[in-house]
Amino acid sequence: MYETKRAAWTAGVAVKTGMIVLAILTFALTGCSDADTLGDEPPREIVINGAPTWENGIGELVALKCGYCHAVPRPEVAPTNIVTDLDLNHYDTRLVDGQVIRGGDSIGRWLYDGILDQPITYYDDTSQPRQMPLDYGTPLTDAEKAMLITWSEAGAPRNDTAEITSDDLNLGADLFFRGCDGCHNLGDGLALDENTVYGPPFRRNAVSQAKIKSMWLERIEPQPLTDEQAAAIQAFILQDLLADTP
Amino acid sequence: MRWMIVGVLLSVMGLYGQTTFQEQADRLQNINAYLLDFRPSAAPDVVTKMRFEAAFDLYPQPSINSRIGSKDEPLDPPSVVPKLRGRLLLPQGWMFGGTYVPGITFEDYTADYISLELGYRVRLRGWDFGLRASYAEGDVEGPITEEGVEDQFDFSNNGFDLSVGKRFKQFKPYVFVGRNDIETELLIESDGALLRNEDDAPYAGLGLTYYHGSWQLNFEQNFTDDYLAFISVSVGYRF
Repeated sequence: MYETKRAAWTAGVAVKTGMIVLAILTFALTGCSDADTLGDEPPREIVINGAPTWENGIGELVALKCGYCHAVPRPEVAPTNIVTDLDLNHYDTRLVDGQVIRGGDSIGRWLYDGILDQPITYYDDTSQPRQMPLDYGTPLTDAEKAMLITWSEAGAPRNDTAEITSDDLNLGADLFFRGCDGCHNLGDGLALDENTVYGPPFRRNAVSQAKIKSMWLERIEPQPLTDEQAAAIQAFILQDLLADTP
Repeated sequence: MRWMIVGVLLSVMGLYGQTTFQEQADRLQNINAYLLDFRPSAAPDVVTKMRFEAAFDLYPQPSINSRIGSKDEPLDPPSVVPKLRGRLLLPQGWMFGGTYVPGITFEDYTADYISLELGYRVRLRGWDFGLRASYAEGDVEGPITEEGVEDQFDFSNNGFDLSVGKRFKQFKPYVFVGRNDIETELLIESDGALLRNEDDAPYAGLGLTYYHGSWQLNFEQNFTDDYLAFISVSVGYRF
């Protein structure tokens, strides 16, 4: 009698143990463990058709891949040591509460100098060389880089509307020597060494009125140039200083 | 096949295409918060007298691709997260539970964690139904974005779920569906950047509880939205 009960009990335990093992095996084989972090996804790409301008794709591209950090006031997501006078969600360099805030019209030179491919410095400030975007930012695709370079070489234009013209070379010369020549040295540029550039040499295609207005506001005086003044400076640079430059 | 079922359960939002670093960072924060969520980890049960249940939960962690932008975050979290859980079951159908992890240091990480739950269970024609609300919050400090730094990840989760189970002798299979709201913050020490994120997501799962005297063994499969799946294994004892 005792042996029979013991055999039945043993058989019961064996069945239960078998079922548990079966359950564990079933769970292990069918259990699903997966986390899609988007780490395998390629970066979003802004496709630009036609000549790139701020209003034709570049503004959207720069806002998406640069403007999330380069904004005023500094977004929480931006590093605390980020430059505080650059807002790439706007094209125009402008005055905000008395402070000059650079816009998209100021970044053509950075692109030309290769900030997308190597760390470079902020002209006379060599303390913080940076390559953009930062590693953990949304990467630029090759097509986007090419568009940014094309835009930079075209003078970083806002749109494809022709700029106004001026033949007032005297006004242009007067303003140029008052504000620009100290660093740009008759258009040849001025540098202490290769890392400390006060003013780069002019590129004919990049001498846009938007850039002139931007630099004036940023570096010369917090009083915006009028369109006519910017056109006069541009005319002087192109027709006099760079007259022999193709 | 599993994902087709989950898709039906959770209304798949659609295939993801190109992404941005913000979306990647948000997703990583979501996943880390949902992995620390307080899910049922047991079949709903109705008791005839007051019982206290202590359980040891193990959450094997899925592998995580931690790339953000062009940078691989050096995340090397533990492969299994353990939790000690306590539950008070009242004969009127109420259930109170919680876990608490006081600032333990594991490898280079320090974690604080607390979670609470409140539920009500009812038995109808042999089926046990449960309604449960949960809350979890905690923080993890350690080298989340870079070796040798002390980043800080904070999260808080609110959730509720409905579950139903039916006992077959010593086994009780169950299913549940719920919804979760989370808030997370990641403070990156090296440059002071702060990433905040709020998210809500549906979750669902199925499990099996095995009863053996006062002991119980539980397996649970969890799905969160259409991008996270994880399992948990629990061993519990009822006093």
